[in-house]
Amino acid sequence: MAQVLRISPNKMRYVFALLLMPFLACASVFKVGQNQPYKTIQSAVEAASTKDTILVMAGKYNVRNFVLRKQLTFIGKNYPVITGQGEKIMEIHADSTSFYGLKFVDVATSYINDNAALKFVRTMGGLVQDCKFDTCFFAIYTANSNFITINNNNVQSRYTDEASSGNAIHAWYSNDLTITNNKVYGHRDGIYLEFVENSVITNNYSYNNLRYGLHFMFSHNNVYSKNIFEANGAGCAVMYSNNVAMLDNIFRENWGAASYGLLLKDIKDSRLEGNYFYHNSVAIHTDNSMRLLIKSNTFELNGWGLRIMGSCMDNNLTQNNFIDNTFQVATNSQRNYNTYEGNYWSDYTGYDLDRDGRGDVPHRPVSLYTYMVTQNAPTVILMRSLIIDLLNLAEKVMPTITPKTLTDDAPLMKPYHARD
Amino acid sequence: MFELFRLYRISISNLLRARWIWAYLGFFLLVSFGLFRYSPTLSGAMVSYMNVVVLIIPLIATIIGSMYYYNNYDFSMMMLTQPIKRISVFLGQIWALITMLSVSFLIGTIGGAAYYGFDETLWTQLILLMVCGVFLNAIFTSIAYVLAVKSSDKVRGIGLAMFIWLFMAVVYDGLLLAYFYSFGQYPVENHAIAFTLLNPIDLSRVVVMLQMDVSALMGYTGAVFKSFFGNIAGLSISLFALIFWVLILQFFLWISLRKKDF
Repeated sequence: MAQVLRISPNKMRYVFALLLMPFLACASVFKVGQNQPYKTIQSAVEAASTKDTILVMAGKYNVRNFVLRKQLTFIGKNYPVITGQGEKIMEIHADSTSFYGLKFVDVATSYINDNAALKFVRTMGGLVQDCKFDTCFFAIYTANSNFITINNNNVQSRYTDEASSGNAIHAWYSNDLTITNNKVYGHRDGIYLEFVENSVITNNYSYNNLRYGLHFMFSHNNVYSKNIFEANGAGCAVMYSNNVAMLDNIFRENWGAASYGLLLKDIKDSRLEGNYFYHNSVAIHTDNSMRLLIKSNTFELNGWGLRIMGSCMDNNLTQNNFIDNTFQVATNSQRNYNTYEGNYWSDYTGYDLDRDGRGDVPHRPVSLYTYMVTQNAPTVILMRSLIIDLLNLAEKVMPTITPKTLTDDAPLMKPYHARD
Repeated sequence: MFELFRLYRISISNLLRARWIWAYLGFFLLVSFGLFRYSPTLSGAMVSYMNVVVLIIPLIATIIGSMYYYNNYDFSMMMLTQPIKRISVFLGQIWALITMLSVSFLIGTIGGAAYYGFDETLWTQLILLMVCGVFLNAIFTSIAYVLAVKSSDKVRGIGLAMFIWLFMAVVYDGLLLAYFYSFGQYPVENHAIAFTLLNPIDLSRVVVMLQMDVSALMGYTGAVFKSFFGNIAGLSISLFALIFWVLILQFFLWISLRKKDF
């Protein structure tokens, strides 16, 4: 054993250096505050070197148009307020910076620049956690930045006009983002993603935004789960993306003449599972979507349950619950290239003689009136008229006009996985 | 004028003794209470109640209007032997009938919905619905009365009145549907507004529904309708349309009473 441990003095030098390594790497802490060595954040950043920590005590700090080029960690004590004084606050050009417990306020609206409280530009890694944002034009903005984590932030604003308001969390050409546990409201879009891939968006609560709670375009291979989108001006819009998984989200109270629970446009090879749509004017509007698996979702008390345009094909709907929507399924085409099987329909009137839990009579989800309204919009004014009920009944007994192949041959007799 | 008022009072006290008027009140009490108590959502209850009101009120008013005329025929004949203007005899009766039907409807509605308590949107919609209900009562009772005065044959009178109800409630909307399909390539929204104004049942349904959140489902057509019916001017025009219906029917009644050879 002694043989093994015998190290020549020459080599000993390296071992010694190796042992000292952690101490050399240990970052120092720069305190910022009224009674602290540094009065302003800018001076502390200047004094700090890479991987140091800036500890910001409670107080109010002005940071305007600041460009950060060092990898630093910012920690706020009792939410120090960082104000942009009507400009943008910080642009981050360094990799792996972290922000904890800060409060950012007052970033001005601009029609030329995307003013943001925190803007990550061409960075690798980054973390924004437990921060608050109030009345920021854009709160968190990532541009060409990858591996950014945005966790447990509270982003609010009180905009009233779409044109002069920005997005709460805005990502552009950024991959591998993790956006979790954030609360975003009062902005234009709650979460906006464009050209974003391999990202995870979980447990966010996006509500009362002027336009969309969630808006994403050209963003492939992402997972959205357990988010709540509530009372947004136009609901959620998901466009031109492939391989998206939307799981266990709640879309509720997105109500208005131009509002959707979820708008799917040109979505392919994606999965919608376990989502709950409650009281939206349109729960899902889908156009030109292909190979979607729409499974075990619940549509309850929406105006339109599923509005599926004739351009959609090879979509599979199964184990969904359609409960008391004014129009359960609407389509504008007499042909049907999608499969509906084993869903629960609250307006199903068939029976189940063999007691296997599936109705013996096929169900036609598209009523005559629903079909008429999608064909000829003014007929909507006859909603709730007696003649509509009579026509629907006649069509149900002898279907002639509604899409013939759009049937659920084995409708469930009881709701699948009733949610509380 | 005095004799008209006196006959009106007599008819009211006569109607107060009728059992069916209490049944009518009970019906609305039960339906509104049941809907507002047991419906899972308030807007759902409101829509259902509106459906009941715009279908049942005209139907009942039509039937009862004709029946009341024919059942009171002997009384009216006796009155006509007195030195009383015939207009007073019949107007007293019909106004009393309209009053009683409306009051029963209002009490029933308010009583049932009161269970829900105060809610601004509910009561705004409900008041609008109650106004429409009262007008529907007046219009369809008058229609039934005019037709009854015109035809001494009971079956013919009731049959004609029922046909008018069926036409207004069902056939009219069917024709409207056909119109929408024939002229689907043209912007027919404004025509639809005009056609709606012409039919009191459609008008009541649309005016009440536009106040509810289901109007968000109506898309562009709904927006056009809302921009017309959603403001004070549009509501006033609707109100005038309903008042016009009542007045023109009173006029017809007056004409046919004058012409009639009893």
